Amino acid sequence: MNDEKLEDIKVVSTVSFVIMLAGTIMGVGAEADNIRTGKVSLWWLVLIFGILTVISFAVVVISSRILKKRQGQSYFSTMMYIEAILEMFFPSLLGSRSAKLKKINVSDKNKKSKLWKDMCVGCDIDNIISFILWFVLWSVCVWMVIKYIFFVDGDDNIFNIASFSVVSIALTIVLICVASGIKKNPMPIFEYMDISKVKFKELAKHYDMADKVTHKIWMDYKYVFIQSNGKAYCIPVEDYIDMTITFSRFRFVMVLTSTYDCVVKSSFSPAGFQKLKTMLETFHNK
Amino acid sequence: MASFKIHTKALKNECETMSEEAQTLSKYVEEIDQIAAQISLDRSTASVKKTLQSISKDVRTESANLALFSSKLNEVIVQYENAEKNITKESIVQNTTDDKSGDEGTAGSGDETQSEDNETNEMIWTILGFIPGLNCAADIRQIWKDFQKILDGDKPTVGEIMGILMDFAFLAMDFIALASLAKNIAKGIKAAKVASTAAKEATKKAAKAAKTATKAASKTGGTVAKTKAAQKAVKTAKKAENTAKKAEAAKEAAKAAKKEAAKNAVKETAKKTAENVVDKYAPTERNHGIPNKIPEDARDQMIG
Repeated sequence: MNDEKLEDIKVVSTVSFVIMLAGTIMGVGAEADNIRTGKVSLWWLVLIFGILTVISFAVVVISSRILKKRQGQSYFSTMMYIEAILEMFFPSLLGSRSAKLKKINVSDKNKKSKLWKDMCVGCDIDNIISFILWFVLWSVCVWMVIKYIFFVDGDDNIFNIASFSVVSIALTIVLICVASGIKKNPMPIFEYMDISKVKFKELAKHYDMADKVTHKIWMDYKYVFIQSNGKAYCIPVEDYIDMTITFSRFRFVMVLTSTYDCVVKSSFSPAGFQKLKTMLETFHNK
Repeated sequence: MASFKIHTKALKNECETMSEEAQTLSKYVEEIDQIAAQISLDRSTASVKKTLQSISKDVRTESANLALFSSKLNEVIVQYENAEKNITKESIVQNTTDDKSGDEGTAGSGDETQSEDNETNEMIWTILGFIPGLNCAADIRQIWKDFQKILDGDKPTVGEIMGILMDFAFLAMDFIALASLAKNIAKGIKAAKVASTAAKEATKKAAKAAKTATKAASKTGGTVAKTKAAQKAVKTAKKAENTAKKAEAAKEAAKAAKKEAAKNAVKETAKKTAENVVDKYAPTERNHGIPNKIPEDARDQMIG
């Protein structure tokens, strides 16, 4: 089995571990209610979820060990994945020092450019609206936990507390990530400038010439400018590697991989993403 | 349609109150007896004493009756709850009341609150079911609920079994979508992170090397460009650039050749097809003057 397949197994089993753990926690809650009210016991279902949780965790550990042994120094651990994901949502925390300095040293002339005004400063309205909606959903779930603990007597109390707690924890993480995108953050652009030594005014020139592909994606012959969750990305067309579009219940998620960056963006319609993919592949193959 | 309901929680409170009242009455009985005992027996006080004794007896009886009523009422409540549990087999409507005075008018609103809670629950979980990731939690919750429903009933119906199968199908679909998304993101961020880390390291090394070269140049008294090491580095970089250009040119040439070959193949095929059609129906040099259709028809006739 090659390294790529093993990496895929590691990722899938990590996802499986999280889901089975959530199922086990809910199951323990349901079983506690069943014991209390004398309903039929579902201990076998708790056992099944528990076993699947343990198996998933074992697969993660085993695949990690094998990959570490095979790849040695170039092994990419789970912690490094988490760091990379955090960098995606909070680029200011882990951005390089020179990129930070570059951001501070943008000249007044460059600050008048459209690129600076559109993508580098101010607040992202979409993220503000998104934050409000997520906050409402998060508040409702947290209220349901509090209600079932303190204010309601019923048969499914512990099950409901466990279920809503699992969801509340997930929504807290989502809320923090969405909140991180309210203020526009151009760190990814400055990181790219730091690596490629291209100047801001050059990028601004290309941004002025770029056409709008879809909501918050612009492209000219040389660069693609993307705004996702408040972060501003600049991807050179020649660095394009791959783009995948995944569908999950009325939500399409695009993952754009280039040499130095990875952009994740979601939308209700895949049309814009398909258009971008076609344009990138056409320009890249030329 | 009339419906029968006992507000059990309120009644339990009433039972407790009655027990307390019975105890209070017992205390009154003792007090009355004490007072009656302290009154000295006299012609004038005889009737008072008699009346007090009679009252004491009545109060004692009432206290005993009240205690009995309270215990019997408790038994009725327990019997009612067990009967309801057995009949419904789903959820016991426990009449929650904040009104400790036991207003029986709120008994109906306890039911309504419970069903409103269930509706709110279902609405929240439906919304969560549309969110990638959280839809798996919603599917798992649905599996638990459906299994409970099936096992609490007598015999699983076809509908219930189909429901369970659909729940597992939805969980599988959502899990596959989530795993696929996680794989794509993991691949992307790993590639980008490794490349950007390597690029930053290379930049750092190049900066360090340039610093060292400048230092060395300043020691020998020459400019950076004149030192042998720097000249070698420039030569190597130019060579690499030329190789890359050549490789690019070769790639373009191969692409062009491929396109040309494909074009020619298409032309050739079209030509051959046209010739075959002509040969079938007209006399040509290739079919020696006899259209190919004639021998084909003769063969068909022979076979019949």
